[in-house]
Amino acid sequence: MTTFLAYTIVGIATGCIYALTASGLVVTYTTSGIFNFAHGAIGMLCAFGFWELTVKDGWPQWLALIFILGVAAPLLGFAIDRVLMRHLHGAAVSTQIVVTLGLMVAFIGLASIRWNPAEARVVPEFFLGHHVRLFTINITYHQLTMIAVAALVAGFLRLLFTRTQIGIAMRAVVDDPELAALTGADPDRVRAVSWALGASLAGLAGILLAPLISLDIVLLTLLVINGYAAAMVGRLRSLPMTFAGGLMLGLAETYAIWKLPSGVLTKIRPSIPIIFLFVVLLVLPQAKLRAGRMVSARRAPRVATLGESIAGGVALIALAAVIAPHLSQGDLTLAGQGMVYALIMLSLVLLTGYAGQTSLAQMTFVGIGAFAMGKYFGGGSVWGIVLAAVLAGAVGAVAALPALRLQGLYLALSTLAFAEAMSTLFFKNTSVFGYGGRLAVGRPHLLGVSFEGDRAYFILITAVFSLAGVGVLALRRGKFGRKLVAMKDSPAACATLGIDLTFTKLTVFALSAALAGVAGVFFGGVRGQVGPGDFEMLQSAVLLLLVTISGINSVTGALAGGLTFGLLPKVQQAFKSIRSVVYVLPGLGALGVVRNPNGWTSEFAPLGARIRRRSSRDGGGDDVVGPAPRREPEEVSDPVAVAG
Amino acid sequence: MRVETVEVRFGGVAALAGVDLEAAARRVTGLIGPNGAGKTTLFNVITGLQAPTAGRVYLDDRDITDVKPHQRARLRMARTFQRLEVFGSLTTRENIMVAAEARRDWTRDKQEKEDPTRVTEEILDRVGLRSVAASPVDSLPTGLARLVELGRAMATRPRLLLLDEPGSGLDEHETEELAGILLELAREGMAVLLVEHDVELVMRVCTEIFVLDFGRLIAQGTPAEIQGNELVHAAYLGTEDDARDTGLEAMEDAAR
Repeated sequence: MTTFLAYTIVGIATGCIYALTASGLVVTYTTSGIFNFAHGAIGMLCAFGFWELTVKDGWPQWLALIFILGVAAPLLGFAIDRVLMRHLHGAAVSTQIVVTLGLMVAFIGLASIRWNPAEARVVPEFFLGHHVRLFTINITYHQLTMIAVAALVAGFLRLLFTRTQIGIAMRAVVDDPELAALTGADPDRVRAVSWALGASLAGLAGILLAPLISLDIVLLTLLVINGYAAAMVGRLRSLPMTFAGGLMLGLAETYAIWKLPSGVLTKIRPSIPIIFLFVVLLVLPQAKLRAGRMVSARRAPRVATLGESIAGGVALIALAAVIAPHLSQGDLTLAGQGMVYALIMLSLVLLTGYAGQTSLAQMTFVGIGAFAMGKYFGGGSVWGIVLAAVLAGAVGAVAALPALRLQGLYLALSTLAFAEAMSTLFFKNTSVFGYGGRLAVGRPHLLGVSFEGDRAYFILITAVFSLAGVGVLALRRGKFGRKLVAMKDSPAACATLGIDLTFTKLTVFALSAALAGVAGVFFGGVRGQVGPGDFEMLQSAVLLLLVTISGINSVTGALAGGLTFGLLPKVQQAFKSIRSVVYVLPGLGALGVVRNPNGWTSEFAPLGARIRRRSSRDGGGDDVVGPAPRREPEEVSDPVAVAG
Repeated sequence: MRVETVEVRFGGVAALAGVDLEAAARRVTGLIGPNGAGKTTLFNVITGLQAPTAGRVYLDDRDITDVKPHQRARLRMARTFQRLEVFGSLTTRENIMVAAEARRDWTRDKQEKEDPTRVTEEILDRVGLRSVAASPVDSLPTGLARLVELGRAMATRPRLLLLDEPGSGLDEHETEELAGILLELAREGMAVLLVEHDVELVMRVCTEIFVLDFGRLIAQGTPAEIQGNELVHAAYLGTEDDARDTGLEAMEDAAR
């Protein structure tokens, strides 16, 4: 009994941190409607800033706290709202996700430029060395501080939302921004305040957490995922429920430490919040279909015809064959990897670009594909590709299951949780990738031809990408593709036409995962071997950012994005002083999506239209395609975009 | 189709309070009322996008109150939206095609399975969208986009068609054509429920009219009866809302 009590107090302390993290998320979400994936990264920045001021520059703790939580964090939150979030109201959920994810990745990159991850840093606990002994365990003053701070914050938020004018205005803005504006509250100002407050809460959680785990950029950033679970208990709206969720999670984790045998525990412990998040998503009620919430999207690119896409594919293979002999061994590998990334991004074009669903687990499916091929076929057999597709597709369907009844954001969160869980439970499991943590994946023989050589393999991957590209475009032009785009544009209208959205979502999710699985075979083949570190959620996020930057709804976008990703190591070499180019570039680039959700390749659309017009004029072709002002007669399509 | 004592509450506010309404086959039934009277909410209740706090919805005497939206559509009801819900990145033809294909997939009766392409082309002509068939719908003016929604709804071959202000954004000539289409659909056996601010249009095509105000049914009857109804005049006169004024003027014009 006494042990139980002691563990309960420790659990409450842990839960308080989750609650603090989550409350910041909820505050910004309720007032701005934007789920801030960069919330953890803001906390991370604050923790590092706190370290810099106190440990390095010798400020007293109280002064550093006041400066960071009272000045720096609110200013950061304010700036984020001013520069980015303000322009995201009314944007598609998938765009909002990409921009805040971009912010997260950019912060990770920028932080590792400022604070070299190779150096160890320690933020001391508050009241270091002081603790009270409660029955069998010690409870540090730091833990007691966490409980006290959480209680204070809870009280403060309650007062803010019920007693102050700005707090009440915050609640009103959520319900109806236009109505709130009529009563004199300025929605823009209210949102700015909530972003500032959210950033401070993130900072508070980050600073309290940093001493307990190491001061690690990625670790601190991703720890916020634990907060997601708590926020979900409050359905991203209710603060009391969010605090309750945080406490439940903290207790669940601590009791697990107490009761579970240590062998099982080490495997499961990091995943407890994730499993919790999964369960919460499962029991959330069905999302309501809402009419009258049309998203103001920029026009999707024109879809290439079958002839155009085949011609494009053949040209791409020919180009690869021509340049391959001139590339060095190293460059061939980079180019091959780039083409594999393009193939993975193609699976995102299908899922996100066409169907409007966001996945943060795409690399997980890639990993499943590489595993299927490497483990059971070594690499030589075509059957390995088939198994990769089937296995990844099936796993994809399972991953999507909890969120199918829900909407965009929840699906993204569910896949994020899934990616994290798979990383700790599956990929890092020694029975999966062997004791060295590496699994060899060979290169297939197809139709009696060996693709062992780097050159041949590069051309093979290009051919696979071209084939997949033609396939994805054919799908888009057909019945299923129309249904996907319809679902993206208006789920409510789809339902009133008798279309079963759940089934459609499940199908596209499985298809996309299967394609990523196939890409996994080549991902393994081009590297020769794979390991658990290759399939992290953060990798999936960077991949999603890059394809969105270049064009999430076109095959051209996937190709450009993949090659960009493949070339990043080259850029890194050129700018050695900038650590983590891999994070900084995609992260900052994604912020540009605010301006053009269709990506930079769509900027060349008018050029493509002009070329098509000229060639049809020269050839006297009958499929005249050209720029059309509004309400043009039939057979004249719109000016925007070439997508092939 | 009929709804019985439907009530919808948002927090403390009643958007609909005990509304009874019936839309019969082979005629156009009108549903009018000032802005915010609850017309669109009632449409959402009928199509399953909004669960009523109380009351039931029946289709052919079958209680469908707990049936999901897409399953209700398969019982052959279709609708358009006041705030457009077109598939903006698809062309006009594709918008209608999606509906025709969905309908062929879910219809069980083999005889009723029609070639989606044929249905689509027929509807393009019938609704008068042939000239913009290949244009992306988000490049169309609102009036035409509303016709796209009408065509899309028609492509599921509904027996009950709910139209939420199909006439707004249309010019005189287009409104004329719309009226023709609605009367024709009713003649073919369809039950049409029409929400419309253009009172002239309502008076012309409807056999029976229901009037909502503040979530309550304040009148019901033939166009002639509604024109003479004091309560209806009061509802439209009650505020200085522009829409109400124009509604009233239109009604008086129609009466003349």
